[in-house]
Amino acid sequence: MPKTIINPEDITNLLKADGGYLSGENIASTIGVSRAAVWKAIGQLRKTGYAIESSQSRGYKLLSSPDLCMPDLRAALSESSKKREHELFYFETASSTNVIAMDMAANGCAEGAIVITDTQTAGKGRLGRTWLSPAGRNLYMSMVVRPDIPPRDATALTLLSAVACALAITGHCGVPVSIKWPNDLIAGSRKIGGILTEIRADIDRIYHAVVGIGINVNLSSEELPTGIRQIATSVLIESNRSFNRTALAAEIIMEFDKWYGLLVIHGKKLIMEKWIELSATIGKQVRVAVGDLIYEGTAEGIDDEGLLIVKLADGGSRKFSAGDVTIGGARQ
Amino acid sequence: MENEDLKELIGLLKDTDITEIQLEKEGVKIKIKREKYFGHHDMPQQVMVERKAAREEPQGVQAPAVPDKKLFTVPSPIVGTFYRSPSPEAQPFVDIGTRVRKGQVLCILEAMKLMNEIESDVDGVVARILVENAHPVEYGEPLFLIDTEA
Repeated sequence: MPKTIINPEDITNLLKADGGYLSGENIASTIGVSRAAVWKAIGQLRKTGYAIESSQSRGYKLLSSPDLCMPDLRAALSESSKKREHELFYFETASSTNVIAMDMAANGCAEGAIVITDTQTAGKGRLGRTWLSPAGRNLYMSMVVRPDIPPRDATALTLLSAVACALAITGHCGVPVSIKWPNDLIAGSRKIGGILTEIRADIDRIYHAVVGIGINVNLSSEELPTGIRQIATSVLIESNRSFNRTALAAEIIMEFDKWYGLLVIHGKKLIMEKWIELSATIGKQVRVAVGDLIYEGTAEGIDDEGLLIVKLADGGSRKFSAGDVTIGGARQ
Repeated sequence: MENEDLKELIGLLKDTDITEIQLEKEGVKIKIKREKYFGHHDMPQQVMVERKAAREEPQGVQAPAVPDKKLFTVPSPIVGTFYRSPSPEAQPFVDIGTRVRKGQVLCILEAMKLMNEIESDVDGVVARILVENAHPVEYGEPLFLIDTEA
């Protein structure tokens, strides 16, 4: 009796390996399911963006995979030299990948689990702000980590995720990306991506953290609301090219894994050095808004915990753990 | 100093972060020491009263080690910025007098866009909120006192 439950990935793997036509019967017998189950699974795959040609005499042929493709992502990550386990959870639509990942983490999911979605209905920014999350264009993903570091060093996660994203986008897409304190990803002078990290910790230990990453990939200028065109951009806008989101996601995850490994083994020194190298903030005139208070001065550097040190106009200096930073007067 | 005065003084100091007081009666010399205290449970405040110029026995008097009400201290696990609500427009997570359950979110601490929702470790009533909204906090700084017996 053939199984009726089928993992669609088994089919795509077979079609990819073959490269040509495979009959429904052939597929069914290879993976031990009924032909009806294969037919049904092909329909589902098409809905999720796979272009699969079918011919009555020859069977099925995979023409193209979706732009955001979990089997491809899994394959890319398994080829990585820095092997960390990543369980992937893909949603066509999600409220917010951070909300889902925090929930999964609280319920004991594995370290390294990644929630990824094509569109968010309630994409989250800092302090209740929203993150623009249209379908079919961008990257929205959140990774669960349980670093064995003291809670006071947790801010290193913010710096390292910014470093990883900046290096991955720059390296993979050829768009130079710098970092605005603490972890906004900037191309030209506009924001190309953002990172929101949430943690559960008490004074002694970090229970879990979720690093949420949003990158504007194939978003055109026209698709950006007019209100944020001055301050937001995308890989497409900067390079005039569109990129496969799966490949970019793989680059970001692998880069993250590399720096995360360095953090856990060697501490945060290397990460802080790289962050400073990629920083768009240090040495600049900045305005920092914290709640209702606004401070202006020169960004001098970051301290051991990553706090921004600003030399104020009155000669004093002040450290910031949070705030909206604007470089050179114009709001970024 | 009479016993009643001493009791009143202890009562007044119970909810503060004053850790040491020295009094000198006639020459009016008062020394008050404040310390940020760490750890989860409300630390007993030690009230030392030295009575150099007093008529009675000259040795120090140790205050009762256990306050009459048990206040649970919620400390900050990070250096960061304290927010009482999830967004500037939203209602605060808790106010003084709010009854909270274990696991309920009390506030958000932000350090470099790392958002840390601080949950209550106990059931009780919020007795004091020790930090103002959008103000910086230090590692270990007490944020809330929660009355677990209310």
